[in-house]
Amino acid sequence: MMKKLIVTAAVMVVAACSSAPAGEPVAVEITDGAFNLDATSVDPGLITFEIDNAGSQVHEFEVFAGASAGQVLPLVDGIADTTGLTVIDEVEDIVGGTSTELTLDLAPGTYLLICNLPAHYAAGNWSEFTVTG
Amino acid sequence: MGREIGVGGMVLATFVIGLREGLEASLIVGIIAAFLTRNGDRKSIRSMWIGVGAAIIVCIGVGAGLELAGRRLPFKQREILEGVLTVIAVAGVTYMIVWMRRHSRTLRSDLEAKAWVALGSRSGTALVVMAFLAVVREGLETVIFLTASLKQATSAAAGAVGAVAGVVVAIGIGYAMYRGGVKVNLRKFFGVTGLLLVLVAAGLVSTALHEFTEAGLIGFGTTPAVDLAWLVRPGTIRAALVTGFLGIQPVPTVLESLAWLAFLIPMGWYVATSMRTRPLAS
Repeated sequence: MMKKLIVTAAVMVVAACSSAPAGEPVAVEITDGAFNLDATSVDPGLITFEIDNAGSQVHEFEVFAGASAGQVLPLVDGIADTTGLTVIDEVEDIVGGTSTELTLDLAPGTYLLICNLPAHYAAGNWSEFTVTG
Repeated sequence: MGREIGVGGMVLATFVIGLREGLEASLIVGIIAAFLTRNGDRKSIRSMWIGVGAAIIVCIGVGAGLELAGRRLPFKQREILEGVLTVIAVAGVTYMIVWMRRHSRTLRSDLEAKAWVALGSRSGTALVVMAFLAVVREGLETVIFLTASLKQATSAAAGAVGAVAGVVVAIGIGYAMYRGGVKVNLRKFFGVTGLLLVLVAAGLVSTALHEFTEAGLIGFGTTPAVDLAWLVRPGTIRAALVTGFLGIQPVPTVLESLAWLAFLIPMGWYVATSMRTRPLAS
């Protein structure tokens, strides 16, 4: 059990450190409880998120700038309080089983990718995202 | 694909979104149509339908154009545009409320009043423009959502059927409003539509602030204020009705909630007192 946890943690760390070169799309799989990215760190420039809602619920994909590494947002009334962060863009109403794309020109920094529908942040529908610089 | 969600689930999900997007515009157009019909302003009614048709064409044109160009409107500009259109809608709806309140006083006979002061041609034009803007504002998002669901290789049919059905039901509700608005007596028409429009306008006020906050123009009062997720659980038909009609978000911020109350209370009082002080029918 412990070994499995350590392996899982190691895999997660490796996954978290994976970096994609500029121009490569970033695949985002949204499930009912997670944002799974194939790269959580990329070079600055035009970045295309290929968003796939593999869950059954409707989700949204919001990109916030101004996050800090390891930041956990306070939960207020069931949603994350994003005061202090800036919305860069968002795609709303991503129905389960569908996919969409979002291309953004991102400067270096730490970003928060989140679905902030009620209870979704607490369930794990978010990911940190770093643009190296 | 198809994965966790079945065809039924997808139809329901897109139905809810279509319903939500179509409701507010249908409601506003329905009330304006009833208003103009009761006013006997045939010319404005015709202009209104031309305006609504033009709005739909504009939405489809812009939506299809963006899709073909593979572009989206930049986020900030999109939010500012929607915010500005919403502010204009607030002004228009408030104008209607005040107009009805003023003229309800001049009604002599309560139950059978038919004659009322005709709208000036400028007011008629204002209503036509309002109907046009109501449809443009909601229609553009609907078209973008529709094209997005049509692009889904595996689920285009299910998604599109749900979304179109949602919009059609929304239009049906707007039409029912119109029929009801034409049938009831004028006093009831003024009272009910007055209160309804106050609720709609209050929702528009908080929606406008929501857009401006997202555009980064407003940076205060952004803390979540009240948890209405029990009432407005995303993905449900009830949420579509509440958000579509009343512009109420599942978790409004402090600023959105305060602005909603700041509009609703005085304006609701303003309309309600005009109903109460009306002479009783004998």
